[in-house]
Amino acid sequence: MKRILFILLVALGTLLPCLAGAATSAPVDEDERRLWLQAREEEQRIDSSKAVYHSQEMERYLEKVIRNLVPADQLASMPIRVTIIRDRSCNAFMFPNGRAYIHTGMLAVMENEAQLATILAHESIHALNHHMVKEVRDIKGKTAMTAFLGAISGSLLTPFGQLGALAAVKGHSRELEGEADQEGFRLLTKAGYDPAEAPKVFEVLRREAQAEGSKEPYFFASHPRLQERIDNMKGLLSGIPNGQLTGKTNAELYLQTFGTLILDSAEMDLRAGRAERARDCVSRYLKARGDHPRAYLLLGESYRQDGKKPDPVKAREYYQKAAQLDSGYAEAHRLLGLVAYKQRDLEQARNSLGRYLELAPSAPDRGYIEQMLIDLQQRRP
Amino acid sequence: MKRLLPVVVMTLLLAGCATWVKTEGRLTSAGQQFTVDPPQGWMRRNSDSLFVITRDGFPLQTILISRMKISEEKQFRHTTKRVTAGMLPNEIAEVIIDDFQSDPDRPVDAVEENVPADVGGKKGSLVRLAYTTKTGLKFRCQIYACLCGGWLYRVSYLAPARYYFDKDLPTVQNMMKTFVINAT
Repeated sequence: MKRILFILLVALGTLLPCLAGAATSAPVDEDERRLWLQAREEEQRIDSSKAVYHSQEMERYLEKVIRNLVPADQLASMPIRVTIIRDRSCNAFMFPNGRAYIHTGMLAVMENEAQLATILAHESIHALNHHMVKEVRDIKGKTAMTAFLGAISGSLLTPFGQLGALAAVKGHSRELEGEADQEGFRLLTKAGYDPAEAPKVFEVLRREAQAEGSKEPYFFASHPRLQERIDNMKGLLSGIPNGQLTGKTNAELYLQTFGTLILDSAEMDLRAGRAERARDCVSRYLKARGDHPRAYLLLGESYRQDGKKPDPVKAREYYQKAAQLDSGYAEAHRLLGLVAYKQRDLEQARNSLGRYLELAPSAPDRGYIEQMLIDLQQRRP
Repeated sequence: MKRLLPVVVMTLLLAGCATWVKTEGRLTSAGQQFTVDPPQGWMRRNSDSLFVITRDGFPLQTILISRMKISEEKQFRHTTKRVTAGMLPNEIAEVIIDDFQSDPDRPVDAVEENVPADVGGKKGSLVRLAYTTKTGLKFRCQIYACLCGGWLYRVSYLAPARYYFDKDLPTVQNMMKTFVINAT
């Protein structure tokens, strides 16, 4: 037993320095150390919440993009790890210790890997250049940092905690954002991504911000700041000679990887009443990945639930497609039956609602459907 | 409705005219056109569009009775979906659930029930949800809803999931048996 214990201790003694070496990242000073401690607390809170969107495939992809962008020696001193948050708003933020969060809503509106890389490069610079601690010092002075952090919690408390609020809602100062634009752009081009995609990202975000009325915690928070990003990017782009304006976008691979997330995000958009955005996302998915029953069902939903201009005829067409592609798709039959019921197509309503209950005998809305079927029975000629 | 609670509290606290009264006998609202027998001996406070009833205080159990004109520009806090005339009870339930599910601060843990229900003599729906607040407290909420003459009527019962919700649910269910919408 003593021998085993000795071997274990020797093994531990050998392993511990290696493990410590693997995590070579460290805060630069006492101020940053305090920020990192706070970041870790907030990370733990987010990671243990239901907000995290788990997908190993997508996380690996994000990791690969980071490795493409950030040189290995810099990653060794500041490991950057990206986690996906289940939230339909367009947001991404970086904690001072290199832990980044990106919302499903943001990933869903990006069209390709080059656009995603634009966001990740920008955010990586915030961590690599220690922007948060610089900003905190600039705003309040070193001695008042705690008070400052305390103060922001009152006014900017978000689901991401104090630092998340600072990074995501407020954003950094104009100078630091400018630096992140410039250096992020350099990382982007160095990694071989198409630089022309960079300004498009912020155009997309501006459209989104306008559509949402910027009421939610939002990437770059306000329209003027987004305009600054667009101007910065265009300025940087104009510095590249015409012949060199090329690079990879990896659009197909991006849509392949994030296809399921795009549909999940479309579902969240539908719940929030954003039928148009849901339709855009699903259309992109179908274009990239071809026929898919869930995509057709969501496309149908985007027409049925369109608050401005509902189109039950089109909705029915897409539910039909979904049911044809997968005859066992209970939800497609439910919605087909529901639309037919409202359109007084009694035969179709009876068949579809009946099929729905066959496929989903313990459906949570069974009570409603049974009531409709009774009503249809009574209306039988 | 869950997000409405703090607003409700503030509105009622600041409204000088509204006072807490002990519930006694039948409650008739001429303005909102309903009658109900609230749990006797509880406390009630109301504004023009909302009745709040509690026994031990807002955080422990709250019944909210409200009606909203469906022509109102912003119907719900988190979803821009709307309840419109001619909607089926399950469609109304869908909008109510979607409003809850679109609130990122209070994730819905489960839709525990979604069934047709008689609400004040009209065809309506009963939805029961479980959600978690920002501070990690688990709540359950039961909402009765129906459409009547261009109005959306809602009776909501909210309480912490542990102990309180089940404790007062039978009282709320009994109250609902007496709820009558007088509008046509």
